[in-house]
Amino acid sequence: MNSDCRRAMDRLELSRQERLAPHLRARLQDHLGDCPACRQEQQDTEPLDLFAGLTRGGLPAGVENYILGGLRVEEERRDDGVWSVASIWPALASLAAAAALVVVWALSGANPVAPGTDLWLEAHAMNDVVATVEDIRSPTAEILALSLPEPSGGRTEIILIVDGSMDL
Amino acid sequence: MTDEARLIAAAGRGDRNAFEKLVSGRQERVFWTAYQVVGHFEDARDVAQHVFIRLWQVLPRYRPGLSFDSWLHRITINLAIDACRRRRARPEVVGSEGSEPVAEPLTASPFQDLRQREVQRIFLRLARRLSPRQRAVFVLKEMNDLKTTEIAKIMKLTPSTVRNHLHQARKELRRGLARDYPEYMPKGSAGKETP
Ligand SMILES: [Zn+2]
Repeated sequence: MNSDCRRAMDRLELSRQERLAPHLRARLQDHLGDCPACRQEQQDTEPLDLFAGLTRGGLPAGVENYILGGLRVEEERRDDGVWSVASIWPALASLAAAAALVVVWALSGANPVAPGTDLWLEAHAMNDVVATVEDIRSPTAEILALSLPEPSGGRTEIILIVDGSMDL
Repeated sequence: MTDEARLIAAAGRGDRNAFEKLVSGRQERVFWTAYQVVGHFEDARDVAQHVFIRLWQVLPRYRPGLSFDSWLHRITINLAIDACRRRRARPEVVGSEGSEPVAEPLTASPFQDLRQREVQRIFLRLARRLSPRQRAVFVLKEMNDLKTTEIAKIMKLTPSTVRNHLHQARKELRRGLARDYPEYMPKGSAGKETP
């Protein structure tokens, strides 16, 4: 697929959504007229409405209670103010045991990591402490920013630099 | 200030009633979106639970750069993709492949119900060939009817990347349908004129 074809295929989807300017639509039609590969691609990528209803239709039995049960535990935790730096040290120690933890330091305030990737994970730390990894801004996923709400309403950010092979 | 903005602000201050009002009616969409991305009932249930826990945790920091529903979609998709990766990383449990929910989407008639169940099974089978991102884009676009630009914001991808994922997903699913379930292939779509 050459760059003309790639551009045509990108515009094809805009055209389907009726968001393509008339002169670009005409150009797309010209390209489709001349290019059998893109005509084939057009057929192969037609919208599929067969699966349209699959995110509607009621919650399966027990799911609502399961969700609410988890929330109740979390609400109590927030009320009890267990979110503090001290409370996650056992969890961090467990993480360290699971993989090579190179450096840990704590800071607060602005996000210290540069914008970059869109990776985003949640670390399920031990001891029932869930540390949410807000941003991973390194292409090798070596730098993890953990953000924990504090009971006071403030915010503590902890940056972990972990071994690249560590699987969270 | 809209009613929703008021609810968000109150829930962010820890008002449980406001939070419950805010999430009521959104659990279904969150669960099924997670289920279609993850493909396993227990994982989807865990993802849905974590979505609302996370929402409760981070609501005090919500800033309306993204609509509330898009924001909720972002949390759902991120956790669902994370769950896919974790599932792929661990050894396959015998018999767990393609596990089905205890109940499936409800539709108007028993006949429709049956068809819907079959369509659900087909999707679970065919979508295994998609990457988590392709699958997430497809679910947001073809099942939740979001615009590709909105999906791009939710997934922090360029709109062009979203369109590319969407094309790859449709191609793979169409290929699977034609091969294994030709009776479900959309009729008359081949060769249709571009609008
Ligand atoms: Zn072409």
